[in-house]
Amino acid sequence: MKIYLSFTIAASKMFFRRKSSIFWSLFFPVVTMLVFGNANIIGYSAPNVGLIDYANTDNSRSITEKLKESKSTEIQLLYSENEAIELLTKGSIASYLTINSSSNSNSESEIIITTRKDDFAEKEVVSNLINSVMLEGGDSIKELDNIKSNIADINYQGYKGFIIPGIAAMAIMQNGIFSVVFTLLSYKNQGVLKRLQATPISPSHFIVGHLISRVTIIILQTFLLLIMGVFILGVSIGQGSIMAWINILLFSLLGGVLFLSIGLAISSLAPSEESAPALANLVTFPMLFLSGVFFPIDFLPKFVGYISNILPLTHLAQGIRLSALYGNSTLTTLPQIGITILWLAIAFSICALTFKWE
Amino acid sequence: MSIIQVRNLKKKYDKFEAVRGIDFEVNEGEVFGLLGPNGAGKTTTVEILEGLIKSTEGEAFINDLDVSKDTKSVKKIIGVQLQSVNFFEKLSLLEIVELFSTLYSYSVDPNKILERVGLLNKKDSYFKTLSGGQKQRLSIAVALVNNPKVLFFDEPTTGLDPQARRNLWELIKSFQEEGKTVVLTTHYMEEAEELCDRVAIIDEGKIIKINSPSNLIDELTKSGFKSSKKIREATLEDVFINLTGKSLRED
Repeated sequence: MKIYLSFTIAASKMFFRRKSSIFWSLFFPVVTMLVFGNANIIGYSAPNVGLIDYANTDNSRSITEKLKESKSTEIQLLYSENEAIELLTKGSIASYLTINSSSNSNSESEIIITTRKDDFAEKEVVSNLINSVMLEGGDSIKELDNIKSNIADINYQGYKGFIIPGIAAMAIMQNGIFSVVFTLLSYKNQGVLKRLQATPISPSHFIVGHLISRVTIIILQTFLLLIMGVFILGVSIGQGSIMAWINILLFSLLGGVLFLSIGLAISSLAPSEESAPALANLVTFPMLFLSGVFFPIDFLPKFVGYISNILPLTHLAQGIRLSALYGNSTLTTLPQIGITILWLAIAFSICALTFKWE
Repeated sequence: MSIIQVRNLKKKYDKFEAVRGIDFEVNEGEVFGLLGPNGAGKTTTVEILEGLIKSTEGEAFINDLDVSKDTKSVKKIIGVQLQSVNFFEKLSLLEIVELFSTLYSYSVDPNKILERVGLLNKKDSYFKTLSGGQKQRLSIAVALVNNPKVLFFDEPTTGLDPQARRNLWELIKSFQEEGKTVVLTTHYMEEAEELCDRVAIIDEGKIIKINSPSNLIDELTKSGFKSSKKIREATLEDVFINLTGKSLRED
């Protein structure tokens, strides 16, 4: 136990004494987050729209059918206002429509668009959609003149809210993989590993001691990023739920160990020492774009989406985002946790089978 | 009484046979030298004894422990200085000695060990900042953390200036005075003559001769060998040391 602890302390001291490691794992993700967080990319939103059909007339049903045919959004049928508000808060829908029948049977029904505060883009998109459905609807649709809009009392965190958990997940991956690959490479080149091999300890002491140090740093890094998101970018994280913060801690821990193990596996599997960093880039680069770090994976073509759903970073980013933006607890992110653990088991087995001192 | 026994030791790599069946014994408390040109198999032999590589054939025992089977127990009673000396760059000397002593679960005062090798004034410096001779001395300090019975030094003085070299010789002699056994590889003959009780001369993976340095010299001169160089009372190195003094320069 004392040996693990000694390695953990030594590895942490070396980390904080090396300027380059601080730059890449702390300074760089923070700057990336601030740059993208202020970019405020418009038009980003989950493309789902909820629909409650209180009227339930022939006309309202045809309107629903037409809306469903539209390619730009996914219509999700809902049955109560409460359900709609809940989904809107969670962000699984970006807005919802309500079709009301009028109390006066002679007058027309009305349609209400409900969006979150400040989400003007969504209001614009959905109004245009309804107008085009009315215009192209032809004979089957009686035009509704009464289109109203309504604003729900839910903060729309916009792209900032999306990018902060994404960058946190990205930083876990980068720090996990690269810190292992470069540290092991330099130890190997320096011959430090050989010197350790001449002592009676087993490789696991050294590896586990290092992992504990790095995981701790990764957790600190995640919380640093999220807290900077709160104070500098003004995004609300965790939605006041302690369980959500605990879940973020759990994800940083699992994600940290996962990507550290992937880093170890890369170091062991690389055909030569010099090819390890290249291989690490080959592994991380596609995930930056396919895992929903900078934009939702719904924006990708369907077949690419299937690949995204296999990648470990997708689930890590999703898990952290669900907790950060919508206050999800561990219980409501079990699928993401499960897949992360599955990947962890795979990466861990590869490490255990392939690690060598030389 | 012998503390190391090596019997018919062989090491084959894919195409190359580094060690081709060597036998020797090292007595307790002795300084034993392995001499030979580069690529003769000195380092391979030493690394097999240190448990760093596995032999292809043959057996080796240190203090009655089989090197290939009880590797871990062997590592606990030996101290190792590798040919290329390297430690964690961003740790101080004190931290390095402390870390290594924990690896042996041996409690020692790291200050005392650093004092012994003359690095106490450098204890808070990072390893990175040391000179070549200081790195060698730190390496020896680390080899001492478990109070080993047997010490292995692989070319400890290569690349050092005469002052640093003589300083290391004094250290190695002091280990012998404490009753430790020392196995040393070198290709400096005057070093072997100065330090070693017996030497084994290795070439192309085989031992050609084992004896004490003075016996080996006698053997050669009796055969009628005459050195082309006139033997004098002093060497150029003596002149150098006489002029520049014995104190270490790098500190």
